[in-house]
Amino acid sequence: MSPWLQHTSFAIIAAIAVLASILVVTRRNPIYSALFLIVLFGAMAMIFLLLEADFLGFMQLLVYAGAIMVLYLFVIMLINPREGDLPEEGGAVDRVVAGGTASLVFCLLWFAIHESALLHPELPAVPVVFPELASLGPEHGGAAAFGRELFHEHLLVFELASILILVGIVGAVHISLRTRRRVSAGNGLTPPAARAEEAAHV
Amino acid sequence: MEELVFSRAEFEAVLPSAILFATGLLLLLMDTCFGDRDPNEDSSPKTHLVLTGVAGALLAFAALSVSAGDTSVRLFAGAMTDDLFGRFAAGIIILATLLTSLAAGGYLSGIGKHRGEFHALIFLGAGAMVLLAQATNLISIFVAVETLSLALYVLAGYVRAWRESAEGAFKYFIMGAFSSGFLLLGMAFLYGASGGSIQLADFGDGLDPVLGSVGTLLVIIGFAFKVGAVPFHSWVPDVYQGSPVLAAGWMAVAVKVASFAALLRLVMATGDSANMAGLIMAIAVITMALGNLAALNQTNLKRMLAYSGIAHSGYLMIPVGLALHEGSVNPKVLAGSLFYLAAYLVTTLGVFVALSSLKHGDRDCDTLDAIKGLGRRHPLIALAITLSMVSLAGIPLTGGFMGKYFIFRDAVLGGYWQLAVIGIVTSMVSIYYYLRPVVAMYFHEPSEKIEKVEAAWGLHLALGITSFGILYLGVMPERLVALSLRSVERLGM
Repeated sequence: MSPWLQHTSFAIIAAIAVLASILVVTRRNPIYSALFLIVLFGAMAMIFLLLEADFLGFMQLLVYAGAIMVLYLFVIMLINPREGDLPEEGGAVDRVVAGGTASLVFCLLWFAIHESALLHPELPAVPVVFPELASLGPEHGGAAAFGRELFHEHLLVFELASILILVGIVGAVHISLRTRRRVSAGNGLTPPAARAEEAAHV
Repeated sequence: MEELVFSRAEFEAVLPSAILFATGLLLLLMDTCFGDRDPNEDSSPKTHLVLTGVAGALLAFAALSVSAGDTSVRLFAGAMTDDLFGRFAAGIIILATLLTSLAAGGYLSGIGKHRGEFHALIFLGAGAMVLLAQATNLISIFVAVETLSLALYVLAGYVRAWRESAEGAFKYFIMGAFSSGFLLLGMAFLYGASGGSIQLADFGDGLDPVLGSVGTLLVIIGFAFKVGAVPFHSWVPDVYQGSPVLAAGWMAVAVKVASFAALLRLVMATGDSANMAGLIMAIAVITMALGNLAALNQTNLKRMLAYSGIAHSGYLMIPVGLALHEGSVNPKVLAGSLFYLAAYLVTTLGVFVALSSLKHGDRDCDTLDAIKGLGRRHPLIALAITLSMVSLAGIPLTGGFMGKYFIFRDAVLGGYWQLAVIGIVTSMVSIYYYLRPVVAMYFHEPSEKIEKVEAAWGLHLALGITSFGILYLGVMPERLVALSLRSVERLGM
């Protein structure tokens, strides 16, 4: 792919990603936010593909746009918010403060990237050693290279991630578990009184 | 295809955290297999869980002494190191876990919420904290932070039936996810600034000045959230108030130790290239001032201790700033932080464990009114609380005093006497609110019925250990000071 084509496609995809993420946070109805999130995930996957990280790109599509989105939609479906259920948003002062803070952070980050040696190669003592895409071997971005990186370079973190997931599962079960004591001993069914109490509890 | 090979050094380095993780899994399985399904299950002391936890923690502590001690070897491709600094921090975390586990049986059965998940989450979280104290690349730091945070969110909302517990856990979760965003963005910037390296060791060779500064700033903000430094402290009082009191004590100590260890390693690695010394000292000053002032009019003990925890984060920030000052990285002063954290362990856990041994029906006993007249009812518990409060306030002959003494001395020697003066003045202010519970315990008639939990042997043992620790560190600090000085001499990267 010629550099010109690469830069142009990056610009287009990045613009789509930025636009989609703005739409995600500004929509009032969560279902629209979720749909724009799919657009964002798709754009992210394309950026990975542009960087020749093929495996990561497809994983992004499969895991995020596929599995995680379904989870989001399930949650939204289960909660099923109506127009009246959504809380009132803050007044003008809140919006100005929030917007101001966000723009301040944005300006800081913009400044940092703009002034960095990444964009000013003439500055001395630049430690930048990012490899050129062309210099990478043919196996770069493939499943084998990805797996080797994951299980050799990042083995410890990979194992730690499994503990992270375990903690998440244990926590979710604990938080969502109903107390067993409410179940009556007789037929194993919850008596109506306890059920009502439980409903009031939720 | 190359084979996976573990070196002996790698095995020894992960041994303490591996034992903690294994204990956590074992506790989960034991609770599932041996949990008798009787209706009063949640009120039984479950001594087998407590003893297993204590054994696991002791084993992990013993594993700390098994080490080649060679910090020059890269372990797990640079993901972690095995230096004395990491082991010192790990030791404090493991001791905090040991004491919490010891006290958990009596406390949780007392409030009728005894489940294996509490024990398991504490051990899984502690394993992640130990790894965080040893982590030396951005990815392992981040995943360890996330793992321990997840355990903390659940512990904060452990008692679902309490309204404030759900509120605190939810706030903690949202704020924690938000701060993780800062941390991750900062790490992305550091990755760019170093030219594509995630190893802390490579940051010393020179970072892109602008990208590196912004990256370090974002990472400091992320950790400031975790330790509750001003202005990122708003979640702390709500979370402490909603958490079961014992879990709040464990959080207060263990999270501070792990987060400060990681923060110290990180700022030592980026060095003065980021010009962060002034910023860190400013955070230290406002955190000391605001934490202590806000604690003055709290009537809920958990909220008061939360603000006190914020103030102590401020004191702990002083050595971080000093170590970076005037462009020279001076790790020597970090010994003050390590000693302070050790003293903070016995002091803070002392007070939280003492409060865990009391209850009101199935609620925590956490207001000033509730402990009125405790000196007459339960003189030993009142004595332990008094000792911890005196140590928190930094009065001589206690560990808390020695910790503050070393930090302020280093500040004066480093030429920042203003920091020491602010620290001393705010400590004076803090004496007022630390002694209020003492006055309530000894000079007021008992107003409410205070119950003591049954099966309190573990609580008593833990209280004995913390009280002994406070006095030991206050009277004979030499050995620990020498150890903390040796720990910071050579930070592994």
